[in-house]
Amino acid sequence: MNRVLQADSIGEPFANWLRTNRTLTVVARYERTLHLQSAGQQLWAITAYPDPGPSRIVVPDLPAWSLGTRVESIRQSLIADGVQLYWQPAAVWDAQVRRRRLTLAERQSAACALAQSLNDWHFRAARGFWNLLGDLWQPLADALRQHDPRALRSICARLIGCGPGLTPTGDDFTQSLLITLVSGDKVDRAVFLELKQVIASLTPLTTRVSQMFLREACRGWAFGSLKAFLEALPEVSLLYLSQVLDVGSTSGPAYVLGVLAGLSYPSFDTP
Amino acid sequence: MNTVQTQIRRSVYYDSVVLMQLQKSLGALPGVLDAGVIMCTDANKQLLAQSHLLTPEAEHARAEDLAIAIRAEDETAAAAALAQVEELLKQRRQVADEEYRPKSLEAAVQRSPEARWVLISIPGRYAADVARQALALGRHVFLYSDNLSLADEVQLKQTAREKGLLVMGPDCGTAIINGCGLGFANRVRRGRIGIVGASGTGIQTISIAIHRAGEGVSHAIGTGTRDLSDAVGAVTTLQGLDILRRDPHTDVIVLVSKPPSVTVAGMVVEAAQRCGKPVVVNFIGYVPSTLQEANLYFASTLEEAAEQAVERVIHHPIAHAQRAHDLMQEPPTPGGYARGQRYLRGLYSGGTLAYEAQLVLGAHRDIYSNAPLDPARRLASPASSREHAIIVLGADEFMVGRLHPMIDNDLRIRRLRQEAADPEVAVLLLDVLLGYGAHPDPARELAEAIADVKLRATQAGRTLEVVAAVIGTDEDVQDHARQMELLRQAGAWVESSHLAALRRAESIIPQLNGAGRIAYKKSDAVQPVNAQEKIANAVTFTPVDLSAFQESFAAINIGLEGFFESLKLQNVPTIQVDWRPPAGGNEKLMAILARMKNQ
Repeated sequence: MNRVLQADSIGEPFANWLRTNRTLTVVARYERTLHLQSAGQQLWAITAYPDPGPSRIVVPDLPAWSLGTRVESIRQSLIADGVQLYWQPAAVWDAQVRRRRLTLAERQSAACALAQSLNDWHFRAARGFWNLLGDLWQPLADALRQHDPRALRSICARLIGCGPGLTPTGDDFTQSLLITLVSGDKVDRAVFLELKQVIASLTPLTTRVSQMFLREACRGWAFGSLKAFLEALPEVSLLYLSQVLDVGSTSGPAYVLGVLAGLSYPSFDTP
Repeated sequence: MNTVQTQIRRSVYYDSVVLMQLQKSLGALPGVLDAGVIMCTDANKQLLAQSHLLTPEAEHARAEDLAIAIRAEDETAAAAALAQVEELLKQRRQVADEEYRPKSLEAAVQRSPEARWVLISIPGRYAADVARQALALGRHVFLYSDNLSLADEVQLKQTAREKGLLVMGPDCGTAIINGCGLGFANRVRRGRIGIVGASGTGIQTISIAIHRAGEGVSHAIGTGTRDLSDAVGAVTTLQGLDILRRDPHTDVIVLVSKPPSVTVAGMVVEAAQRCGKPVVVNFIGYVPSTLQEANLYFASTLEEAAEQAVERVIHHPIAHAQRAHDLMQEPPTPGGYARGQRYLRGLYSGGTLAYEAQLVLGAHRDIYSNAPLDPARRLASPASSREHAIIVLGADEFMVGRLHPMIDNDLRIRRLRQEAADPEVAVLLLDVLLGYGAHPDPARELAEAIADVKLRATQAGRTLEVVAAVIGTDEDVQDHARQMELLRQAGAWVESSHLAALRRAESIIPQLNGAGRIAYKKSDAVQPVNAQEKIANAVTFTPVDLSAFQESFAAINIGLEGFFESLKLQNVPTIQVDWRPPAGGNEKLMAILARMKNQ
């Protein structure tokens, strides 16, 4: 083997899947991320961004695998072109967000702090998506509160696949809304189950990368900074918040808006 | 004719930041009207359609495909832009060598805790929130922004008063604190005269006249245009008066205001009477019952106020050579005006100077204005003049989404051409204000337009006089003498004093073919009584700590880059905040966040 790389982390779902020997193909290479595809068309990632995720391996440096490279998984390693990428058992990262139990006051206080932070954040233009979200905010809160799957479907059909980026901004928002609900109280989880049903039928409307993230969210899995941020609630950790906000171009504020929607829908009503 | 061209890239993967940067770069290319770089999901196709960027190619693309759509002035520009996509994608953000700019006021305060002043010049609808944040962080505020609600102004000023802080503004154009010019201030020497002014150009004109008379300014505290209204109750003016009363470096105080409320003016005069220092008062439009009463001296023009203040410092009349308002050129030769040429049109950037022009010129004739002293003389539309008219181009109605005419000559030049083309117009009167924050070379652009309109008038058989007051000091960065010379070369009558320019215009008008004359109706005299209760309420504030006026000045600037540059020019430690509107300026999302924030 010419080169051996050690992973900083690997998402538990990915590690579990790789327990069986698999073959993956490199289908995309960004500046700091590789996308690999398995036989079932499922996408996985190797990234140099230090933010773990359920379907990703975090590495200090990307292996020099080019598009089309076939990568074999053997035990706790991925191997191709003389490069072995391996992970220690301790590097396996739990993507499931811990449940939280917040009082109404804690929920409102967290929402208030989040709104303040978002108010000061630089939102990049998103080709009308923010406007759309502004229009849909109240109907979405109503639909979640009233357990109205028909209304939810009609709203989510407008959000999914909408907005700039490889993961459209509406998907980012929906992803974090799902994760916020699944990690919430009993009522939130009931709402989550309804929303999950709706989203499952809408994923074909978006890009494949985004489909992968939405599927992860439907299982209650989050990426590292979002998970840490949600688990710190009701304290709004500025460190974790800034890490989430800094994701992508419009993704960061969309994630935080998703959390805000998930926290505020029970009490968000037309004044 | 606009054209839309699209490039579809199949199953490609780019980082979101790269795609956003590509879209921004494409949008800035020559001839490109709009650019969209987006994945072809159904929802995104709708967004493209709303932006008139959806072509059949994009419509048929799959969710995995990237659409790069360009709307351009013509096909060549669109094709040229698309040809650059590959090159633009290779470019990387160059941020390493950029100056660090915090994105929020809190971050700026953490970085520069010694900065006790926050300058705010962002659009009015956002400014109140930022000013509240500044007060919450214990900072004094210079609020240049206008179009704030009266309720916001009252609330901000009351909060400041309770905390022992100062809110100079909204709509505050000028201040000088501890020798540092804020907004549109001029470079004047330090001295023993303090100014409190509800008038930016008023403060400028007075401080310039003081400088020319050989004296200097300790502090000039701007208050904002509405401070002396009934609703606001002169909160900042009274705080300013109190600061200058206690300031050991101030011997004489000048109070200046655009037309104030009679009751509030009375209240301020009462407070001035008690301050124990000589106070020169120039409230535009008021006729005092006496020229002097105890420590109060009343002036009827800005330059007279400056001269009176200087005389109180030097304890003797100032020399004739130091008076600013003598005419610099001989009066014009009469004649040459066409039969229908009857009227003067003043195109002002400064509100107070425009009021002063109405006072002086209106003493003998009707003057119409978009900011009239006499409500009966309000123009039906600020966009079109009638008879003799003074237009304030810095007024709120012209300022929404536009830079002030002291920064950008575009509006004034367009109006200059419009008025010059009116066959009834014989005289155009302009104020050209120099100083920090102002246009770096205003006369150059104006001179070109003046020469052109004069030539056109001559070709049409008319004589068009242009009279300009160039208000600045010999130390201003624009080079006062050169600015005057440029305008003179263009054929204008140029004065360095506003009063002199008015006298110049006044000398021309009688030669014209008879405009109507009326006696100008002065406002009521100041009422110095019946205001005891208000005074009692008004003076129960936490005094502003004088150390903020004695320490080296350090500031945080949010808004106009020009104000940041002028502070740097004065070697003032300043942080520029990289401010953007909340929620990307999206009103609906902003309202949602505001509701939750205030829960």
